[in-house]
Amino acid sequence: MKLDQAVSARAAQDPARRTLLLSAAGAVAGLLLGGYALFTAGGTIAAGVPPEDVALVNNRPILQSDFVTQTQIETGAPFHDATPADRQHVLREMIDEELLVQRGLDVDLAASDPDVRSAMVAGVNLQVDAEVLASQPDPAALRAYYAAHATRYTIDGTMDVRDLVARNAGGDAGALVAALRGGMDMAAATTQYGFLDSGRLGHGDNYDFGVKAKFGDALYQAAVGLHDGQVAGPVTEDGAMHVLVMLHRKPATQLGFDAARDTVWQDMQREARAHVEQANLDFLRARADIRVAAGFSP
Amino acid sequence: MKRMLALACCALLVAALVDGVTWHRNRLRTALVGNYADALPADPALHQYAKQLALTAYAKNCAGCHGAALQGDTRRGVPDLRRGVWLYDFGRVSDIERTILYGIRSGNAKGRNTTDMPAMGILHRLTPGEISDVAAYVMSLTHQGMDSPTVARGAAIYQGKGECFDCHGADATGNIDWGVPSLNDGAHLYGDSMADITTSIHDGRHGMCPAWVGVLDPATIRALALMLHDAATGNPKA
Repeated sequence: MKLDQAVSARAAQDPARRTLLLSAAGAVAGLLLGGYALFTAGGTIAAGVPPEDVALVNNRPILQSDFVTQTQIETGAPFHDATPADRQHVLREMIDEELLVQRGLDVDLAASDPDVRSAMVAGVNLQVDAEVLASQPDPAALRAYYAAHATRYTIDGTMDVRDLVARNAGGDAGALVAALRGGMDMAAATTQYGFLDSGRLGHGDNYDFGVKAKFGDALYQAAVGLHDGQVAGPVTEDGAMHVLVMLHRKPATQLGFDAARDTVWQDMQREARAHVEQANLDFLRARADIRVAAGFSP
Repeated sequence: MKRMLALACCALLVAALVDGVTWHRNRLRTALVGNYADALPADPALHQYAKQLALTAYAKNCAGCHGAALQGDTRRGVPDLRRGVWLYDFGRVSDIERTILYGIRSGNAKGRNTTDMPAMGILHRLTPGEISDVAAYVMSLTHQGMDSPTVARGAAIYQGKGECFDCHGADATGNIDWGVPSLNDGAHLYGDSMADITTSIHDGRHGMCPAWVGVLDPATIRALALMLHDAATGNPKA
């Protein structure tokens, strides 16, 4: 008996076995086809670099579009004009950068490096602020904001003032004030009545805020209301007698709406950004698990 | 027995057909995103595949602003994508793809966030009269018969006090690096009437486009870029 005749005879004797064999063959074929489709379908590539990327660095992709843009930026020419050496150089740089970024994440650089933390904070806020930054000024809102905060929109005043302080306990402040108000030369009167220039303030025009910082509140308040040529005092500060002589005063001036528009708009944007950033923080806080130690409060 | 064999063969055929279709689509997808955006093969099947992919995504994500027929909306400064006038870069597939990926003033650090059109009127950098003069000058770049003295005054403000030249260029051709539009191509985003141009100068403009990276997959973004490029260039393969 020939072999095929023997197989046929055997098969005819055992149809169940043949059915099983065919089913198994079908299952194997199905598995092979299914496996091929699974591992070549978009987004499920397990081996190799996805076609939209130029590299995978520890499974993190470097997008082809980013590579093309970076190459064009670095070479200053269209991508197709970049030489293979240019492309290689750029890709190496991008891979190096990705490696360093991943290293930074591994060692949790954000936990310790203030620059990284600042950059992350700025990046998140930039996303949150996008709508505000792209908004346009509304004339009515500008005017309303100006009206509500008019005192902010002033040009700081300036003053050229002399702070004369008693040289010692023998200084006669009352006589000095009377002499100065009577028109006596300041240098002569200062010497005659035992005073000298304290030197706390530079000669020439100084902004009000600068004067306040250097004089302190009491002396500043005595000086700020003086006009050109007026004398104030005596003013006692820290046990010393002061006499103030205003040589030139330019008071603070209120800016009109038209002059203040730019600044008003900037202030409105700043406030709007602060508002959305705070809203974002509130949202994050609501989702976060924050525990504060006893004795502290956030 | 024969019946079972026939069924098995049918099942295998169906499986092979499905796999064949999958394989074909994967091949097209790989060709779409695996080639450089500006060097995509001139394969009609590829363009057709991209168009199919893009149309679905466009209808779902883009048509709300850009319109079902890519026509845009001058009232909101949404560009007509069929015209081939691009604010940023050269209108290559890669340029369009970058805009879709990272957006315009989107808050994405890679987005196109370089500059804004300042509100010259609201912020009183120019008076209403000066704005009218500049608008007339801008109109004169694309329209005949404008009043010459007004245009001359507007040109002087454009090149001087208004500092318009600083972004739009002394020759008003714009700046594709900053997304500053050309003023002499007649493709005004917000309309080209005297009133439209006056409003643009007076109120300023700050158009936005969201960043789609991470929202749409890379193939869909590339497909959208290709479709828009094809539409703008009148590519017959599209």
